[in-house]
Amino acid sequence: MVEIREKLTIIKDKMLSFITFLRQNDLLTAEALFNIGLLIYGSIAISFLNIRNTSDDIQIIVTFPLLFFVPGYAITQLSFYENTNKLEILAMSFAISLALIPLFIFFEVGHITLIPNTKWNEELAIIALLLLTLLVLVKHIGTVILGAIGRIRSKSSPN
Amino acid sequence: MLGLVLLATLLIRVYNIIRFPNLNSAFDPWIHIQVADRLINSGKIDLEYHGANFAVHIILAYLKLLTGTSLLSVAKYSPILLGTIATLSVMVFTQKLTKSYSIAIITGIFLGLIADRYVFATNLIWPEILGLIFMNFSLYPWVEHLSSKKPLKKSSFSFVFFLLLLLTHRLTVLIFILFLIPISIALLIWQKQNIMSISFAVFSIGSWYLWITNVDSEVSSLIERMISRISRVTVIFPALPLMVVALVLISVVILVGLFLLVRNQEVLNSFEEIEPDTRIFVLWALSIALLVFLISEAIASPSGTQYFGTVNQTQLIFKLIPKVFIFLCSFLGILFLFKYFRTWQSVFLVVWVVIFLIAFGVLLFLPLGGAGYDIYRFMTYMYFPLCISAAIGVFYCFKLRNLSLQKAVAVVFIVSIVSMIPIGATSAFMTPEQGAFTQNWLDARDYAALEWMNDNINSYSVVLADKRYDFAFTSMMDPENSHITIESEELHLYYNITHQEIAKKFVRQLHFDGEWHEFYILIDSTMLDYGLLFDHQLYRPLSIDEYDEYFYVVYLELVFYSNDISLFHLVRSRLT
Repeated sequence: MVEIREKLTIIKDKMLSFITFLRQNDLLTAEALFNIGLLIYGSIAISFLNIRNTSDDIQIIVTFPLLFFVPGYAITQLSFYENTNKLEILAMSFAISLALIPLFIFFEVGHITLIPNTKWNEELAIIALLLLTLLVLVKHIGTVILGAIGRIRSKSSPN
Repeated sequence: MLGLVLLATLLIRVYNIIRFPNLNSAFDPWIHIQVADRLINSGKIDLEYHGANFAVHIILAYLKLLTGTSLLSVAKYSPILLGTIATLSVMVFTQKLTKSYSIAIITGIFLGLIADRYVFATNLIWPEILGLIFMNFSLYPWVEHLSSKKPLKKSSFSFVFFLLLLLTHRLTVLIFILFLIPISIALLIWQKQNIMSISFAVFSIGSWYLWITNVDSEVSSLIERMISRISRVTVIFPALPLMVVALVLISVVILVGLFLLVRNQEVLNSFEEIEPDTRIFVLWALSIALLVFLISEAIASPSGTQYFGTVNQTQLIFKLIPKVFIFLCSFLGILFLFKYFRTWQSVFLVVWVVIFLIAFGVLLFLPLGGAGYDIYRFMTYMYFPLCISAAIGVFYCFKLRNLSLQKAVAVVFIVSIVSMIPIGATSAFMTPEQGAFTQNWLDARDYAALEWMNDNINSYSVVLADKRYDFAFTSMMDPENSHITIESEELHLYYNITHQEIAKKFVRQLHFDGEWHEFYILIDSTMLDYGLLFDHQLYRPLSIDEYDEYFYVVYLELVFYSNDISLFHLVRSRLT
């Protein structure tokens, strides 16, 4: 009984220290949670494009934000929208996602003759997910890794 | 509140889509479905058929592949997405320009109020919706640059959006460039040494060059048409060219004056900072009298007579009154903008509205209809700056009454949102009973006829139908029946000719490519009501004399009948 209690205390301490770690590294902010949540959603949603026995409606509902919001959102957040308001981010996310479709399809073959590709959705979903991963890496996890590297460096330095 | 405006916009679209079981347009949406269909089936963008404006078709094809549903459904439901984003883009742009959420929200509501079937199409796919999204987003990074004087990091996106706009809709590009060049000149005057201003000017001039030379020759053809129109009208009304020249000269003087005033201008942090002025309201009241005079003149003009002559009571209530209200409010807004004319935002809006009003005047007196440049299409773009200035005007009305900002916005919001949904839903897409043009309308009966044709008639047949059936049938057609030809003649043209002439034409069309083809005529009740077609004798075989005259015996056989749509089969046989 005592052992279990001790183990629980250890787990609790570890969780608390993990939360502290997250807080210290700005990983518990609303933005970070949203972005990481979006990444988790994207990972689940992309599998829906490959499941053929799912009904079309469910597939559309699940994958729609991944294709029509996520790419634009990731680009918006990655490029220049640090101090912009939510309205602008929302609008730009939709618009850039919408712009990405003809641009991607047009430049994929780089010619006026297209080969209609039923995999367009999957390809675009992969691009969306890659952009989102890049966003989470650059804006959140990347800063933590860089911070950790900085701390290791400062510890290992003779002064 | 923003969410509610968007929700209302969305609801209007959903309501209008559910209201009509089919895609009830006869023209452009079907062309886009057709081009998207060709794109999917042939893998080619049909440049010859629809020019370089293929972005919307790629999106349609993409949505079809994503959803797996028919292109018809995709075209039908896509305005829910595109229309809502278009409204959102307008609001973002307004917020960026005026730095006021309240004005942005009122603008969104106003645009919902005067929702037009073109730009803010509520249940049909029009490339204008996509064009408007790209237009706003290619312009607003520059607006942000002007307001914050930051280096233009966002401008790269502006170029991407402009590129897409070039590939989306030619009329939107033309109108975009119409106010892009004056703005670039204003920028050059304002920030002489700024590299971005120079690049902006190069950008706009370059886009002109691209537009005229490579992408399309619409501009040159438009100019040619204007010149020919002027020369033609000169005979009837000799003073018209002088009027047009005077109008252009006055506009040039106004623009030059505006740009000179722009020098050393200030930046307005937010439009909410402007204090209301009672004198402006007095001036506005006096100006309304002048406006009433001008409106009566506009009604009396050729385009005005054409437009107002077709207006019925429903249109008057749901379509005209909100527009007149917004016109009047926008005038109040412009007066306020003049008071703060030394700020760039005011110059931007005033120049924008003035350019549009001048172009509106030119189009009103010089109708270029039939070429896609008619006044109705143009007006839908004009509502955009007008709604912004109208929102400013209404905003200051409330400010003058010492209502708090929240209360003012709440009052406008509640009143407008309550009226927006029925007005937007009704005026955005009217039924023929409400005064819509029947020629641009397909109903369940038409669909039944088209479906019957697709299922029953020989795949090498020829169908003579009103031209509104052409696009729809070609898009709905089963690939196996793709040899059916629709002769999309204006059947109404036949009202005034004799049945002998019609028979001659039919006989000619029965025989081509060295073979005889089955021939059908799709006739609606309107034509039967005229009673001119075949002199009421639809089933009558031709007489011997007529046979001699036309070489063949021709009579008509009714093969399909649905309420007042009839499909007649023209059969060839010999008299014995």
